[in-house]
Amino acid sequence: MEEEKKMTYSAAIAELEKIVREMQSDSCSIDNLSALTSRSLELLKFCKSKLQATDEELKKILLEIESSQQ
Amino acid sequence: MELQGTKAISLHEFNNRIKRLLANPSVQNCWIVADLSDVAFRGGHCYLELVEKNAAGVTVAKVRGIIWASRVHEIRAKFLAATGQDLKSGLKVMVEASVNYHEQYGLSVIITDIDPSYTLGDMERLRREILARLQREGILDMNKHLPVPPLLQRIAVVSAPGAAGYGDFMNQLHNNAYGLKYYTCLFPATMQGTSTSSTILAALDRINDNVDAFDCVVIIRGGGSTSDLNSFDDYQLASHVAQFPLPVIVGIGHDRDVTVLDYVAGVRVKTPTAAAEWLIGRGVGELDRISGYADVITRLVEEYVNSATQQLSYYSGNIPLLVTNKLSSSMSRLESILRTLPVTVHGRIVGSGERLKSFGQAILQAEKQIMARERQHVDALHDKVEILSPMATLRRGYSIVRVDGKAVTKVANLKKGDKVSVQLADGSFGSFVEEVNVEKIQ
Repeated sequence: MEEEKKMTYSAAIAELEKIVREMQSDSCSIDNLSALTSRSLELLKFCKSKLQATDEELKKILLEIESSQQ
Repeated sequence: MELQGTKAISLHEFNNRIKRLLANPSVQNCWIVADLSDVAFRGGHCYLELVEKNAAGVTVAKVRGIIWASRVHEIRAKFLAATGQDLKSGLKVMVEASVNYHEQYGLSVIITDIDPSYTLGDMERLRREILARLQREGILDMNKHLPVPPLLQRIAVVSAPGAAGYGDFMNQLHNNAYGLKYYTCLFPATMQGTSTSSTILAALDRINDNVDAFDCVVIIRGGGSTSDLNSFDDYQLASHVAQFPLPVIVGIGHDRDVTVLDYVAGVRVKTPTAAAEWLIGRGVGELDRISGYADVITRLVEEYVNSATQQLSYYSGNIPLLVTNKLSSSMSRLESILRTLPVTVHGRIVGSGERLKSFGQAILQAEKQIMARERQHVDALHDKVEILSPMATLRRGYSIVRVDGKAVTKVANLKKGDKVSVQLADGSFGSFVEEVNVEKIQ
């Protein structure tokens, strides 16, 4: 959770790209497939929630900036 | 020539003579170019000053001008339609004017027509000058070349707070059909009139103070082509926007040629609504990208599991139990993967899961068939062995001769008087050898 907080969307996308490349490579075995899959699921979930779930903290920060102008 | 003092005329008469002198075709219906100044509308008429300045900005000519109410409406409408703005001070114009001298009010020119293309040309020249300067300074395309982050979510909005365009933008953005979340922060600015540039610049400064809190800047203004756009052809404003550290999206609502602001902005759209749509389009692109990854990953997992199950089925003849276990653990792992996959891709994956399930069932089925085949094979072997066993042979009339429990295969091993045991299909009997005849069997 703590790690997810620090992760950025761009970093998550970059990692997903890397995982897909790795899964497509010949060197990928079924043994690390499971680990790669579960990591990619984490990343997909993170990206999706970044796009579609409300971040209350972020909302608050921008509201503060907006109201500080008056 | 009249002698001075002997035959003086009244001022009115004198002014009348001036008036008659000025009724000369060379100063009637002339097209002249000048700058507009002190434009004012009173009682339906338009009062203004026509001014000419030299290169140093010093006024070298000046005259009062009037557009009578009968012409005002047509001239204004014509000018507005072509240039997108009203008559106002500071514009360069080409007008048809006739000199007018009034005994009481003095000299003025009556304006009867206007050629907006001259003003357009001048505005264009001004724009080109600003663009050329930005180009010389190497900043023209800076904002366009800024890397745009994939996630544009925290948006600094520069707009007039109560403007309809701002409302449209907010409504469009926050109520998008894709459930995309955006975080907006308004930085108020005046979006028309002479303070436009300075208030936008001040807003940009405030955004810059919080630059890490935002992904991009949106400058929007409602209204169509009727509003004044001259303020956006401003060097200071263009220079700031071009060099701004965040991508700037401009939607200032007009149909005519681009302003300098449009030109330097990273992204240019026509209206505030279009600005919101552009942002939503980016978000949808990201959603597509994510589900694309989910698809690829699902497909790859499927391929891996398929080839693994194929491998497993190869062993299934030997270790059917192991296969069943592995298969069911793969299945349950897949099922747990399916449960955790994001919702949008879930449907597609459920389909794949069903295929996998039926594949697994097919494997179990195949394995049963293999077992049945093996059983048949064993049965066949059993028959074969049965046929080869001595009992069957004995039943056909053959017998086995044994001496001391050992089968006798050669008569040479026997001699007269040996006690032998003869076995038939249903039992045995004892006997003594009477004679031994060795035969050569070809």
